[in-house]
Amino acid sequence: MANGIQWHQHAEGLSIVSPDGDLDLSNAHELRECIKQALAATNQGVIVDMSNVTLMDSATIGVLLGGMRRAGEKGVKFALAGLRPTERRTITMTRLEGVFTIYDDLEQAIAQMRGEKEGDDL
Amino acid sequence: MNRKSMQAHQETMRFELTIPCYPELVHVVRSALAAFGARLNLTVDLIDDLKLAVTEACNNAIQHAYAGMKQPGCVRVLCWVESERIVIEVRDEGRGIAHKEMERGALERTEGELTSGTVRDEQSEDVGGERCIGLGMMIMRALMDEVDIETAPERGTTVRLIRRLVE
Repeated sequence: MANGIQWHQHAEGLSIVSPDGDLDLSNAHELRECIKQALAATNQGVIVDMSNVTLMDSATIGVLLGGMRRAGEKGVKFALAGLRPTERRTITMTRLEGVFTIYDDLEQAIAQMRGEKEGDDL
Repeated sequence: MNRKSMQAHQETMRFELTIPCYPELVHVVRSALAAFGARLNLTVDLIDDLKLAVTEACNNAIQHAYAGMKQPGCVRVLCWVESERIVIEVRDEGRGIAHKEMERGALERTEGELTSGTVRDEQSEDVGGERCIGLGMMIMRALMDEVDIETAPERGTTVRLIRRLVE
């Protein structure tokens, strides 16, 4: 079961969503609302840190697609970080590996998205 | 225990579980399946695959079987081993699912559809719509060796998931 879905604002201006446990139909609405709040609070980007996620179903993927779409509409970045091999395989089997921006871990995602922002500012 | 006696032991084991059709109860099915898989000495990776596949089958029942009815019905999960294969059945007694709708997204979906908004998350219905049936079917078919669906209007749906235990 999921222990909780939280988000916080990183010093770099990015919003980081941190779900924990199993993500399924029972908490898809909570995840969606959390991503919406995280998105509303940033002009740079949202990272969903998946490193503590132990299961991710199709309802969750639908919510992540929605988050990516909303981020695109706002003109900010949206990325997934720290997917376990099992969850990464779920992304692959739904043919979405090229759709989502995926980083190996949160640190890499922050560094990369911060770097891209600095590049944009030049 | 040699392989033959292990196989005989496995084939005497089965479990059956009925839950009300609520999303927050699907974890109970996953827990039961994980414990059953551990008793069968299945690998952690295989148990993870079974848990995700059964979650998708339960999602189908929860989202579609009893849509529009005042009281949600139940979903019944049966699991057993036969001929060195694990079989999981997820049964409901709801309105049935249009089979073509279930297959459509899985077979015809393209990356363009997924990103353009043809397939997208939108408010509460997104996790109950056709889009996620398509994704759920893709996941079940990728994880299992066989996925069979028996469905008939107003007579319910049975999703049968089969995975070989020996390569």
